[in-house]
Amino acid sequence: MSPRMENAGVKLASGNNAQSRRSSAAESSHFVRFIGRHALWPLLLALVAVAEFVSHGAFLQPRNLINILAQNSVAGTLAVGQTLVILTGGIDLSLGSVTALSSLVLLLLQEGGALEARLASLGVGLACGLLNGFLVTVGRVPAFIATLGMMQGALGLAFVVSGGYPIYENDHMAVFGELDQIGPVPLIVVVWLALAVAAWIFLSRTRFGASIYAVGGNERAARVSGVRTSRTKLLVYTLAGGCASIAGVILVNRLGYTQPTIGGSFTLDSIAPVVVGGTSLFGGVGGIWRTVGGVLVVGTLNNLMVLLGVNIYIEQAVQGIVVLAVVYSFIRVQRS
Amino acid sequence: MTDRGALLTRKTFEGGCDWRRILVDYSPWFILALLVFVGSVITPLFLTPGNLLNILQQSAIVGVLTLGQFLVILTSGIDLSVGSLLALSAMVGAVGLTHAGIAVGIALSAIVCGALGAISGLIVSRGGLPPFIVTFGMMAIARGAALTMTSGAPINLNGSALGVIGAGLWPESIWVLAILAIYFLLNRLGVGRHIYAIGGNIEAARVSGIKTSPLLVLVYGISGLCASIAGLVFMARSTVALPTSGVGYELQTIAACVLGGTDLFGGVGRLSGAVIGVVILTMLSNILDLTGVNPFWDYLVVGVTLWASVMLRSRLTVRR
Repeated sequence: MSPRMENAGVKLASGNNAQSRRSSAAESSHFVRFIGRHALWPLLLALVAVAEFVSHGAFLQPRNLINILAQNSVAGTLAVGQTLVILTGGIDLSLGSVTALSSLVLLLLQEGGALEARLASLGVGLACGLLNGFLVTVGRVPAFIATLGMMQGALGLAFVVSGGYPIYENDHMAVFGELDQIGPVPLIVVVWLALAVAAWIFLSRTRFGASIYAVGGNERAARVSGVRTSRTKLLVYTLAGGCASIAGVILVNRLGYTQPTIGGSFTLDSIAPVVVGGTSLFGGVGGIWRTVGGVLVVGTLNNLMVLLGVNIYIEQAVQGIVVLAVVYSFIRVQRS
Repeated sequence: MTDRGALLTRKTFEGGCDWRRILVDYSPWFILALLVFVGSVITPLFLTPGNLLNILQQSAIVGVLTLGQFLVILTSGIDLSVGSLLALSAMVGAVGLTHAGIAVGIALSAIVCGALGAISGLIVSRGGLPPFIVTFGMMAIARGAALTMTSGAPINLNGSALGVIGAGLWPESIWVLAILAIYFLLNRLGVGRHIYAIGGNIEAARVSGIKTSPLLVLVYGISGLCASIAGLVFMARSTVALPTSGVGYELQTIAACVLGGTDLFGGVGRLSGAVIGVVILTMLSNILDLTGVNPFWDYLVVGVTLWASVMLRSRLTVRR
């Protein structure tokens, strides 16, 4: 991973007029970069320590930890898809709306059986993602514009199919057969982490995984050296759409209902962990485990705010500030 | 309105091919004419003075927002925070209004939204972050702040003095005044040329002595101010300040700019086009309304319109 990091650092620095600054700060830059690259896990540890201290030992109780994992499994699942997209240098702003749409489809078709309904909702998610990918590659629409359109389009469809009303589960749909948890561990957490493992293997062990990094690192160079860039991008947006519908299944499992506006903050929830984990928004640098770490950091932060009794509505604003601060400091570190 | 946008548009074509140039240069007018034709064929209710005035009035709020978005896109940026800032403006304005009077409410809203916009501009120019991520973060911050102020509850303004500007011809008049102000800024002040220059090539603009950072702060700040004005008008029209209002407005403003011929890569676009783009979008939803289509389809229509116009533009023009 580290050579890729270095490349991106050089790419960023040379893109801006930082050459002069770079030479003067050459001595300290190695140290700063080292800190920047490995800041995630110490940050998580520090947050956990603060939370444990503030809550007088309630934070590190197994029940609270499992609760945090379960609460963040929707965001975690979405973040896996978002990581793939961001690694190619793109962004998917539609994940929240697609989650809402596919979860509505899931519950609208629940009478036809859990498996059929889940397949249909997976189909909807994949289709939305495929359309995103099609717009970005064949349509040459910038990623954030294409997916912003999908954000509204899927929201509109969600309103149309539901009539604007919430839809409830008739009978509880367990994650697997009749099973919702193994021992104390909820299966939704297992689903999220299994997806993360699958994405990790996909990224590190397959040709497509390598081409995702190649496209994000330098798209033209990748194309010239024989990487099928369009196909790669098409694939990542489609997979992200698939992740959104899996997140929809997890959401319904947790809440027992869904509604068109439910995905309002999910897009931010999916981007924040990727960014906090240190995956570069310019693509080519980062990975799944960083994102999982990012989910834990953001989840701990949210839990900490609840423990402190902060107004719950401020969560969104804090996440926005965290995203900006992290992206800002990463870019600063890489330029130094 | 001005030839500045047109001149810059022409440079993006490879050669002669007059019809294509005309098609692109005047596309907003063609689409508008087409819509008026379709509307009047579909329903006799469309071409009545009452309905046309209605369309103008409904355009006013998104219209004011679009002015700020237009300037930002000219600098090859994007402002995703306009919808959330609109909600924050209404909430801040309502709190100021109920506690200390109308002038304080308006001033507070203008200061808060203008400052948040300027901060976006500062981070974009100084931090070198992509505009969409900066304004996406600002979108969350403004929405979170609007929700936190009353824990998500709306503020009722029945009988407030501000109600005046929500009625009659006020929204349209405010929109027209704002258009004139932006027109003056773009065409009568040196700043206007600099804004186009930044969008064309920011490195070249910097080298030729334009102070790009303050200019970007100004442009994003103006976008925040536009959101403040739009939020106050929105609040006055509905006599209630809603922290959840303005969702999806960022898409409408972007779609209006692109429909009006503004290039998403910056440096190319006309103010008149962006204004007509707003009218086109409102007219589209008005026609759907008159024909009895479920208003929820509006969301989808705006999204598809944006995709179609971005793809068409990139087909018809040649990248520099």
